[in-house]
Amino acid sequence: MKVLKRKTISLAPADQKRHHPSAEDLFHAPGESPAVYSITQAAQFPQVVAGTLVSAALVRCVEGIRDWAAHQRHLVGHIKVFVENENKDHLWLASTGKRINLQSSEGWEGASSANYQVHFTAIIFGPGQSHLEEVVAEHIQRELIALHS
Amino acid sequence: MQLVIFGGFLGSGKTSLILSLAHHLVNREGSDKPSLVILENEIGEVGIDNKVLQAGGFSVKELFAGCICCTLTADLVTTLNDLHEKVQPKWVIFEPTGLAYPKKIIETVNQYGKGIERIVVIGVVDAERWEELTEITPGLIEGQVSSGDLVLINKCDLVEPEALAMIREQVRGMNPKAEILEVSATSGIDTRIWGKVDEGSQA
Repeated sequence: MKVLKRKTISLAPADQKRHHPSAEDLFHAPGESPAVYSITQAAQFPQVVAGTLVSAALVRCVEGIRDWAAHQRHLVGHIKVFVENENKDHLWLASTGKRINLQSSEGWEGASSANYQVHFTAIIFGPGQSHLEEVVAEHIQRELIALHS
Repeated sequence: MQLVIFGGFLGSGKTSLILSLAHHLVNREGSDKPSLVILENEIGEVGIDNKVLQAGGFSVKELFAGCICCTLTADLVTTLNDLHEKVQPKWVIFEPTGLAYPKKIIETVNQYGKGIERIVVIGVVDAERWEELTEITPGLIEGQVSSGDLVLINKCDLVEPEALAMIREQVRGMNPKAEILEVSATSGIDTRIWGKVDEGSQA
């Protein structure tokens, strides 16, 4: 799998001339700035994989991150995933740490492809930035690699 | 140009509600002319909501960078003025980040925006997480609710009637002047609710 784009942000802007809100400004709760993991990743498989299998893998991925956050008593801002194949069949998953909502294009259920583009964002209050990156990346890799077999 | 701003915490359902409103407005206008543009500002380098809205067939512009709490209002104003000069859509729907205070956005748009005839602010409340969020981020939630002309209590199907009544009461306390409605974006929105947004836009 090839990582096309990866960047994480913090709330502190690099340019000091910009507005620099404190955690208190934002949340009236010190120390409650979220960690953000945001990535676009190409998932390329040696054989075609049904969209339904990709759905199941990404649901497991979101469940794993959600459950980890709950276990660590972190607050999930949101976890959102948008995945599409080359025919623009797509699936959208979203969770706020409770249920996981899925919506898909009409063709998704019957679609299969060897190439998918996965867009993933997790915004979670509580963990450090690097820790969130590690946890989310691990879950994504684990589930997508499992689809190779 | 009519500007509709959706305020609400992360995961409250703003994007789903925007999809519903956008369909309503486009169907009602019934014209090939680009009458609707959606502006998106998301936390994180990768936009998800913009892809969802584009997949719905809508024209979406992303606003990049800036402060997530006031949503880089200079960039927003530049984009709005550019739209006014070059595209002249009838409607612009703006989805700020889930950490934004709509009041700051309104102040800047009112001061520097061109060609904006009317601003409607919709506050979106996540009924399922109301108790949790008002405990953890009370200032932000109140800031998002208090600016709304209309407050939509979303995910009302996921809480008990007693809890919903309590949420309504607390929302009313934060924003006595707003109309407050209970909705479920995933179950479909009564178009009469969107009629409240576009009433007064026919003139």
